[in-house]
Amino acid sequence: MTPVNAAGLPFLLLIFGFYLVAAGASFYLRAWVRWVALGGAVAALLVAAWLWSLDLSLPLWVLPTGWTVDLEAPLQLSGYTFQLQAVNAPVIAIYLLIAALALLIHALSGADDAFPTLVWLIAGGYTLGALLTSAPTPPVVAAPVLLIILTALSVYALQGGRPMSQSGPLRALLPPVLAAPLFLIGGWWIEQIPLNPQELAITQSAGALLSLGVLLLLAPFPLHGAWPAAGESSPPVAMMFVSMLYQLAVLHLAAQTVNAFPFVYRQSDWSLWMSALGLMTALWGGIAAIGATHAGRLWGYAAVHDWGLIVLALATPGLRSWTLVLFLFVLRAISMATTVVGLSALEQQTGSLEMTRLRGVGLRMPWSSAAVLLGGLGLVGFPLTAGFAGHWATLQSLAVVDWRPAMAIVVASVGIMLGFVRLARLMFGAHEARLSIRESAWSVGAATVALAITIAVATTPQLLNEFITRALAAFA
Amino acid sequence: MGFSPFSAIGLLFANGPGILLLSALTASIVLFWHWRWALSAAVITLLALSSILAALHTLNPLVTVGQWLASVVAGVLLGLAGYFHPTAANTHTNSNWLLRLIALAFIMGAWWVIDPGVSLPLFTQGETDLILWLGLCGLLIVSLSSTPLHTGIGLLLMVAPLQAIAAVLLPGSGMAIIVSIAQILLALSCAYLVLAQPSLVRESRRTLPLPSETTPTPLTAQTSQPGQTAQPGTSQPGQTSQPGQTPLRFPKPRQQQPASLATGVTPKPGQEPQAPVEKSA
Repeated sequence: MTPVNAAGLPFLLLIFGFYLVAAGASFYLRAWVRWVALGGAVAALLVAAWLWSLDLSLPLWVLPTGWTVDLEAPLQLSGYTFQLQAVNAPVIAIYLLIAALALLIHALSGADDAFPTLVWLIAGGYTLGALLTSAPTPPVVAAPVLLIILTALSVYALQGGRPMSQSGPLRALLPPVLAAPLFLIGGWWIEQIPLNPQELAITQSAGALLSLGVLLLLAPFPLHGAWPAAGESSPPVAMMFVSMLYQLAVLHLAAQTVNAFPFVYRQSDWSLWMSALGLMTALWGGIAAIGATHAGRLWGYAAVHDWGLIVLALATPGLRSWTLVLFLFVLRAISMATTVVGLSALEQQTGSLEMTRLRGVGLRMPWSSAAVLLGGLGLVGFPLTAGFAGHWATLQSLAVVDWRPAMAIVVASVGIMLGFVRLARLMFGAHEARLSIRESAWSVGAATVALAITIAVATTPQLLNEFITRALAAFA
Repeated sequence: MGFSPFSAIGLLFANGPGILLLSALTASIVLFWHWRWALSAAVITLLALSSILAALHTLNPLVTVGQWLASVVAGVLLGLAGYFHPTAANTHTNSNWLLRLIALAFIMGAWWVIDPGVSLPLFTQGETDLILWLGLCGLLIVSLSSTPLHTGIGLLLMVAPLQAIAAVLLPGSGMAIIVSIAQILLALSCAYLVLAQPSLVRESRRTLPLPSETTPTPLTAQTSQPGQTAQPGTSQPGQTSQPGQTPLRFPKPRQQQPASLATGVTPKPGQEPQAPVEKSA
């Protein structure tokens, strides 16, 4: 990569250097996986906070040594330009925040020693994708191919060294592979627009292709299968990390697409597709959760239900709906992280998340069990959980237009609630043999913090206002 | 951008019979399913498609070289994974040949009846049909399989349209190279998942078959002396297994010295000196 017109050391070189050094250090020090994960979490958190508070109106930054760092200096590689801008800085900060969360939770279990390295590589790849501001083709056209590469890399994290079913990682590869050709053909049509700007058929073709591409990338029903399967077979923290990063990247891509090419929304059936498939995804998540016999899969279906609501909220892209989408996404992140804290601790102690293996475990590990239940129910919008405010707002705005889909979603969410009630009965039910497992102090601490955050957000969701307003700059 | 060896190969296939041959070869992947045939046919189809594009669209030879290289590397990665872990390649067959034939016939029939009239810009109708056929067959393979090896082969076929579109519709954008990188990484991920699969077949061979009659007497394998190995087909009358119990396993199945050949142990009359399970394990 070569810097262009830089007034000092390009900031992006520092960022990519940071990712590479972090990945290298995590790999070489993988024998001390807990400390590596903890150190990485702290580093990611600091850099995320720094990026979040970065003022890009002052593009030059003078180091104590006298060196100058150019925050906005672009880097070029074969015609592809990467630049830090106000529209991508918040997204990169959120990527780092998710990475910090994942590393922090991983530090508690320390199961897979390659995970911290993979976190840095995958987060670095997503950062690279977000920083892509100019290319020989529009960046939104090239992004799905980058997503294929990143999803292929994510397979290693999802597999997590476990000799189990591989269907989760394999299914995760499908949506970007299906969507990428549509984006490339749409990119060709976009190139034809300046040659014949009055031709309506060109924008219609491009709009339909890009809409369908975004829809496939969002992986609604029936492409949702990767996440419940990964919830069952993959380490919970890897599933959370990979799915959250992927979904945030797709949401950002959808926002970029709609903002750069408004005809994508106006001259296609975007609203119809998003509404229908979002609703089906939310419904299917609820229905499928009824029969789940694995706590991880139940969590995966709850996440699918929640994701369906986000897709539904995307039906009418605008300032209001992007605010709602971001609100739902942040609440989703909190609920997911809370669940993962509990699931990781339970899995570490019991060796499996099969519901039959969790019988009576709640009496021995009450804090972790509570985290699983409150986090999982947060994904359904259960009252007094983090997700309640977001779900309530979405259902209200949906019911204003048509009450029937809103009612259907409520009914579907009952299916997931029943699943969690069944899980709670098993976990807190009496067990014939006395269990020898014990909740570690670290697990209790992490679960307590996660529960405190969940309850704080559930009772005062306005705590997130400033965060969402800042993030909105990248989307709307 | 003149005539290249790739164009010469492409001209062989860039006609009706050539495209039909490639389509039949792709369909045979779905029908035969054997991973060696499937992988070879998929790589040959990808190489032929790249050559057809080079012949009909006068692509930069470097782009075609990149596509050939990516296809071969992806094929070699998956092939090595299948070679080193053949048991993983043979497990989880979710369908038989009749179902696959019906699925193929359904796709062809549906395409014929619905006739969506899909046409890609700058591509001839023959090329478009071939590209779509490759993508559909890839999707069918991915749908019918849960093994990483066959999913990898299906994904290779699904990347074929992407490769073609990137090279022809967006020349000079570098997308063809990025797609090639993505193709190799996809194959690498699937190869990794193949190797990470547990050896289910080998494990099951180590398991003793359950006797047909069960009587509630203690297990003899649990009370056998060190160095002795339980042998299938030679169970004592009292040897049994309770329903729902964990099946018996040999303590050290890979040891080459059977119990009956050990010093001081005399083979029983009519008993083979080496158990069949030891030979197959």
